[in-house]
Amino acid sequence: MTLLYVSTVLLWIAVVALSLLLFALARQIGILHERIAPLGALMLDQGPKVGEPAPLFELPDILGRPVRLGGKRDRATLLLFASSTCPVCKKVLPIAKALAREEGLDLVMVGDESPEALKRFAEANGLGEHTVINAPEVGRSYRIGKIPYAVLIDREGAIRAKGLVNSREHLESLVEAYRLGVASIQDFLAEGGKRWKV
Amino acid sequence: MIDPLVQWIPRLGLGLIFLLSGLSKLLDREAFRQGLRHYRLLPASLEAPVSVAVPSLELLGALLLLVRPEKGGLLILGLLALFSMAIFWGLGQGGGFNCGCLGGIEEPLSPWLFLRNGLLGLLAVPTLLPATPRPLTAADLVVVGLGSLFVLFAYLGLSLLLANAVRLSELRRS
Repeated sequence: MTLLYVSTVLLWIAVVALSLLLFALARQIGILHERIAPLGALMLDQGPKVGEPAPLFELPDILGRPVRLGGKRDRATLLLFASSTCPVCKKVLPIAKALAREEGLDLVMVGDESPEALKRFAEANGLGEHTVINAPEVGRSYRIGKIPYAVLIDREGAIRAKGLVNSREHLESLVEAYRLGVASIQDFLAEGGKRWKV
Repeated sequence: MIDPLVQWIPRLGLGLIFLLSGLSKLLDREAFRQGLRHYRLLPASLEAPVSVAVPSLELLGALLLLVRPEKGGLLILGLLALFSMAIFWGLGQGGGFNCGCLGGIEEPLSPWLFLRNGLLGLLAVPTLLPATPRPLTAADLVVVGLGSLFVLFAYLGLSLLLANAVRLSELRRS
């Protein structure tokens, strides 16, 4: 009888330990899902293509200073199409600012709304040192349908990466795509899939 | 008549599950309120009272399971039926939101939750049946303790796997 008691209790301990392991394993898978989905900034295949020269614009920013978009520049430019009415834009702006500082990019926010609302938005989000322009024509030339949308233009004035950016990972993926020399992280994964069976 | 062990393990396990479920909702009431809002089932004025009433009933069910198992079992079966109806309604609305089953913990609404509620309902059945009167030995108590812990962890593991299954199918579609 003692053997039965002892072995039953030992088995129960093993069962509890296994169920704990199952729980921990499922939790880890959940964390992995949070980290990997979705992969990189989603590129909507419209507007000027990656590798092509960025459309040239000369227009005033919200403070009336002249701004030139496209063409040769000292630093690469990160165009961020955003609006004061979109909550995700508010989340992405500080990340874009940090990324511009870390990577040495010129951050230009492009809006399409009333200049007063955009001015208030720029002040509230500390965009003082960055350029903010209110220019629906720029959005149209890039065929922006969804925001926040970011375009990375290199020093030579060519588009290097672009996509819908909802998170830090998405924004960083644009810089990564630029470094790797691919149009988007999706392209990289698709090519990698063929070459190395990822 | 069933052996007391067969009654006690699901009884205590279900109690632990509802204790956790009730506490997780009460400790993060704002998240649970938002969860309720997604269902679009209640007028705004009722959200606040219901967000307290539901976890309180869950805690009451957990407590009753210990002292009055039949009443506790019936209350929990009632709650499970109510939750299943809410999930059915939510899925009818198009789903795509957090079920709110465990407060603010991310658990997308899916038909799998009916399976989970069904399993929880099965656990409540032994609490409604009479148990053979026999003295519980020390070994019985150890087995009841460990068995109920197993029920709790199996439930949590299953919930996480269900949540992951929904995410995986979203990933496959993207």
